[in-house]
Amino acid sequence: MRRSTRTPIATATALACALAASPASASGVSRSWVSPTGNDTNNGTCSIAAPCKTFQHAHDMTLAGGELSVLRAGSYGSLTIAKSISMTNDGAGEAEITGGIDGIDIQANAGDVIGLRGLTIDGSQFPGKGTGVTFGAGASAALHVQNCVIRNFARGIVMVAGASMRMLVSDTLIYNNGSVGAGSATSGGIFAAAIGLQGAGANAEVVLNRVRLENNQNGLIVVGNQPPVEGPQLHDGPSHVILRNSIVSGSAANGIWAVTAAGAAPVAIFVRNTAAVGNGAAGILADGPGATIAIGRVTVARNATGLTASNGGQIFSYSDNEIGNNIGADGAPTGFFTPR
Amino acid sequence: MLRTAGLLTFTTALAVLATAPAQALAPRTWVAKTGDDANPCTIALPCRTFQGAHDKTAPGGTVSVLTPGDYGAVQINRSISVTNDGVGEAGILAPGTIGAFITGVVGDVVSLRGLVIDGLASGENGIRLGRASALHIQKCVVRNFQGSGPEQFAGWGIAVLPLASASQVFISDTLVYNNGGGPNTGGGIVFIGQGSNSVNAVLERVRVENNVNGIEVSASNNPGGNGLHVMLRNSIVSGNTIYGVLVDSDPSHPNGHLFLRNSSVVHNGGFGVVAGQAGTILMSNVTVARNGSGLGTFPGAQIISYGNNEIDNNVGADGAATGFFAPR
Repeated sequence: MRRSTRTPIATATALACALAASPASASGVSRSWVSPTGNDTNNGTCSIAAPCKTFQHAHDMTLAGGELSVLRAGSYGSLTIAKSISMTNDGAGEAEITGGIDGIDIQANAGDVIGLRGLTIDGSQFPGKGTGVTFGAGASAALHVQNCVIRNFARGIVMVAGASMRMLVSDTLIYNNGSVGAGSATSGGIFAAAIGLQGAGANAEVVLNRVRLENNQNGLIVVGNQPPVEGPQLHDGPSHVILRNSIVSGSAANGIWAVTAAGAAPVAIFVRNTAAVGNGAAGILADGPGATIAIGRVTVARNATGLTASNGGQIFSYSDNEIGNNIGADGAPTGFFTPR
Repeated sequence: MLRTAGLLTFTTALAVLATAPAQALAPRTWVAKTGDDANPCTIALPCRTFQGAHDKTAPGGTVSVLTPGDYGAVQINRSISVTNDGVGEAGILAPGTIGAFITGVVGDVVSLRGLVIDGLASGENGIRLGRASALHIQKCVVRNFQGSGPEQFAGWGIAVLPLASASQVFISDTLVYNNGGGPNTGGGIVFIGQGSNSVNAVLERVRVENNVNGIEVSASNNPGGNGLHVMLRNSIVSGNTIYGVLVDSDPSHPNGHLFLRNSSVVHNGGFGVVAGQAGTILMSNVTVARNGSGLGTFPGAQIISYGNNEIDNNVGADGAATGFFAPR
């Protein structure tokens, strides 16, 4: 319902303003800026000369498809994103989102493209509560996260996927997220993890490159759609996650975890050139009949247990992984793929 | 553990509020070269030193840098993040002392990001971990720590001497160079076991260059617990005067481990890769070349290869692994 109402209104507003040749302040701007010395009051342009003070206000003044940038180091507050937008801090000093229980709540419209770059998203004022980045439903929406730090929440990134959604995260550090007693995927808070993906709308695609998931309750959790879930109706297609050139280490519970119930949507994680080390339960866990994890050039060491495939879950190896020196059992792949 | 940290933080913050409302600590503080430690460390009235800002920051809070400048050595006794995100060089000059000395409590999580820590040839350690549960180091430079005392481990760039029963150390995108306390002491990064305390460490894209020694993992004082387990990935250990990497253990508890993966250990003056007393080193996709000698193993120690390393062209003997693991 959100999608079906907001887009026409926004479009109509923009059209009306353009036709009436209103000042830019009424219609929004394609380019906005924030600074700690900025001012939100009666500031509809967030210009580089007269910047705004918070991300939320600058977002609200920015047209869909526009860009919001940071002029100086500062704390810019949590926000809700409801349009295509690019938020960038390119080395102006630490641009922090803090002070709220949650960091960024993305309620995307169909087809929206959101970019987050160079932000520190910190939940330390409500430790162990809230979510750093929530990526909500919107068919074919895409989220790009680069050079960010996400820490001190109950959950780092949660993606509740609509159909064909995409999320691409690179060069990002996610640490110290988790909450008390959240030992399983769905107890004590869904996705008590650095990155959690649920629902997996048909053909949802996630690529995680050079991410470091350090010292969280769990590292990466991918859950097949199973009711009840919050939010819009989900589709029962598979989700595909690629995790490469990354580290998943120091989780209190599992490192990399694919889980589905019988009859739920299948989930697949392809792990490549990545270390799952020093986690407090399984390094890699495939749980359920539709849970598949493929591993190539992966190191699985010093976890409580190495590989675990349970309840019909499968782990396929390219026979080039280092699986050894775990505290308990190393475990073994359930099958093998041949490089070709 | 980290969940406990949150509770501790909250409890501590409450206690502070209850006892000293006029001195309430801020969750967010700032430093600038024009700042003053008499200020409240706000963005409008920033402090001048990391120590001044740290002391006014609530546990779990953040210190950030507004302008390039030198911000002095800091002793950290709480969960905190100290960050410079591209405003220019944020330096800690620490002649004769320790750049960032972490002496908090169990449960603390400390992050250091974007800092240049320089010992000016006399500093003891650039970063020293005493007590905390997790330490995250990112995008830092640690150099010129060449002090010879009074601290026992002076002359190491980064020294991990864990006082918590279990510590996690994560270092990434960090350059450690020109450290060393004497002709054959000190060097880049050292892990020294304390009692039965354990450490899990992951070093990613770290360069350890031109130190006296490169990386040492010493569990020989570490007769119990889970030991010291260090993983080094996508990294370079090069140009160190003595050894590249060295691991040793207590023979009765051989729990000093180093896993090298996709890294180069080259151009070191002595051995590139040494498993000292009862130490264990695993290696996969590692280049060991142009060192004084390649692989060296003491009695009771082991170097285990995944059969995919390049160990050639060393000045002296290339050496050989003591065992092999099959990839699977």
